[in-house]
Amino acid sequence: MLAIHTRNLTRLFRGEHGIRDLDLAVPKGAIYGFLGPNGAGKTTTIRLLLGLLVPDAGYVELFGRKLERHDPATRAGIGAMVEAPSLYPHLSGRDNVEVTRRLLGLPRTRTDAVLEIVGLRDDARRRVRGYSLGMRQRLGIALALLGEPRLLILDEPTNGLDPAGIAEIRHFIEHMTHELGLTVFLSSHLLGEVEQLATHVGVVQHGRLLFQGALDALRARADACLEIVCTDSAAACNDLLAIGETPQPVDAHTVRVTDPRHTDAAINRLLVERGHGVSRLARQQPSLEALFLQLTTTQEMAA
Amino acid sequence: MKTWWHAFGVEWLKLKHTSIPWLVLLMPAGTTGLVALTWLIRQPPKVPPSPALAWLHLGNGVCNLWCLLLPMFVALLSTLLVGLEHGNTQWKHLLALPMRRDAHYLGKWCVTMALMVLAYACLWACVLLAGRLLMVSTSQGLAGWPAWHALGAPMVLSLGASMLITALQTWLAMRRPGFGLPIAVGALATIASIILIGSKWARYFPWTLPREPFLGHAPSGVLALAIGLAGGCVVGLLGLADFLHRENT
Repeated sequence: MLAIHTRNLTRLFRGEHGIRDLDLAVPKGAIYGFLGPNGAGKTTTIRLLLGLLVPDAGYVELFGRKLERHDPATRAGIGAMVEAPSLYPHLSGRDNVEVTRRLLGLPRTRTDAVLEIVGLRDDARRRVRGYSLGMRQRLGIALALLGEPRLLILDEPTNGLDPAGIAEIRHFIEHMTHELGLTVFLSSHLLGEVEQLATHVGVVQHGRLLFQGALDALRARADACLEIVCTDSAAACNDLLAIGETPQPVDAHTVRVTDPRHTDAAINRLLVERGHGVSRLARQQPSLEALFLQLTTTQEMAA
Repeated sequence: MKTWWHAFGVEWLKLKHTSIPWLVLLMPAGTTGLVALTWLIRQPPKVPPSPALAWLHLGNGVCNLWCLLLPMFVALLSTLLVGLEHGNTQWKHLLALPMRRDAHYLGKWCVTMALMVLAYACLWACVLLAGRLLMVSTSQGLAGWPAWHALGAPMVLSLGASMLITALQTWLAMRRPGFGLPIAVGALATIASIILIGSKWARYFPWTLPREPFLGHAPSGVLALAIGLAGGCVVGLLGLADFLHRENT
C-alpha cells in the first residue's frame, strides 16, 4: 500500500512556476527523500499534499484515500512541519503543544509523551522565544507527532541548523521510523543528510519528477567508477587512453575511470606492467550528490 | 460544535503573556478615567438636579467617549488577535491539522466578541467605580447607586450594535497579514464617526451604530442593535466563506 500517491498533480503559479504532472508513489514505512534545487517545487508539492493549496489538475491519495480539502478525515494520521516550525514565541514549549493538543481533542498525556520523544520535557516551561533553532525544530516535530501520525511530512527540517543540530534531527527521524513505524516524507536540499536516512528518493526539477524509486535503484542507474591511486596520474591516464578507456585525473596521484571497458584486474595488470606503482584500485559508489547532479544537469542539457 | 469549542478554548490560552487582556482592561479604565478627570477639574462644577441624573450624565459622558474610540479599539483588538497567527506563520500548521477549518475562523471571531463583552463589562464597572470615587467630593452631585437599567440597557444595546464592526474588522485582519489595512480602516472610521455625529446617516454607518443607544431615543437604539447583530452575522458568514475559499498558506 502506498502512503502517498499522486496522479498528474499540477499546480502552476504566475510565470509558469510550480509543479506539473507529478506522480508520486511513497511506499508505506519508507523514508522518502524529496530532493530538488531551490524553487524546484518541493514546498508547493508539500502544500498540495496537506491540502493547503488546491491543485489545478490531478489528485492526492493518502493511504488510499483521496485528499479532500474540506474533509478533515482525509488528513487524519498525517503530521507535518512545513518550512520553519509554526510556534507562538510568547508561550512556553508546553503551551505550544497544548494549543495543538486541545485543538485535536487529544488526552493530556500526549503533551508529555511528545515532549519526552523530542527531549524537551526539561525545557517545556521556558518560553519558546528563548529556544535555540534546534529546540524550535524539535518542538515543531513534537507538534507533528502529537496526533500519533502514520505519515510525517517534513519540509527542510534541518534548515539553518549547525552540524550538531542536523545530526540531532537525523537521530530523531531514525528513531521515529524505527520505534514508531512511521512513513516519513522528507524534503531537503542537504543531499548528504538524505543519503544517510532515505530508503527511497524522488528528484524534482522545474516542477517535474526526474526520478523516483529506491535509493539503490538510483545508484544502479549510474555505474560505479574505478578510482586508482598511483605514482603518476598523468602517465597512467595516457596508458589508459591507449587501451580505449576514458580516464580523468583527479590529482597528481589519483585517476578516475568512468564505466571501464576492461575488468578491474586487467587494468591493474596493465598499469603494473607499464611500471606504475598502484597503491589502491577500487570501485567508488557515486554519492547521492553526484547522482543528483548527474540527473539534474542531464535534464538541463536536454532542455 | 466540539471542534469549534476546542478552537474557542485554545484562543484563550494563546492570550497568555500578550498585551491583549491589558488592552481590554485599560481601554475602558482609561476612557472612564479621562471623563472622571474632566468632572474633577471643571470650574465651576456643574451639579445635576438629582443624583440619578448625575449618574446618567457620568455614564453618558464615558460611553460617548468610549464610542468615539471604539473603532480604533476594535481594529486594534482584532488585529492583535489575528496577528498571533499571521506573525508566526501559524496558518500552515493550523490548516494542515485534521480538523474542520471553519473552527479556526469561528474561534477567532467568537473570542473577539467575548473580549468585547468583557470590555463593556469592564466599562460598566469602571463607571461605577469612578462614580463612587467622585462621591468623595460632594460638589459633583453623585450619591448612592445609579439606576441599573438606565446605565446597563444602553450598554447592552451598544455591545450588540458593535458586532457589525467586530465582524468587519475580524474579516479584514484575517484577510491580510500586518497591521496596515485594519488599523487604517479603524482610523478612517474613527474620523468618519466624528464627522457623522448628529447626522441621520449615523444611524446606518457601522462604526457609529454603537453610539446610537446612548442618544436617548429608544427606537434608534433598538434599530442599531438589529443592524449590528444582523449585519454582524452576515459579514461574519461572508468572512468565513472567504476564509474557507482562499488558500491560507
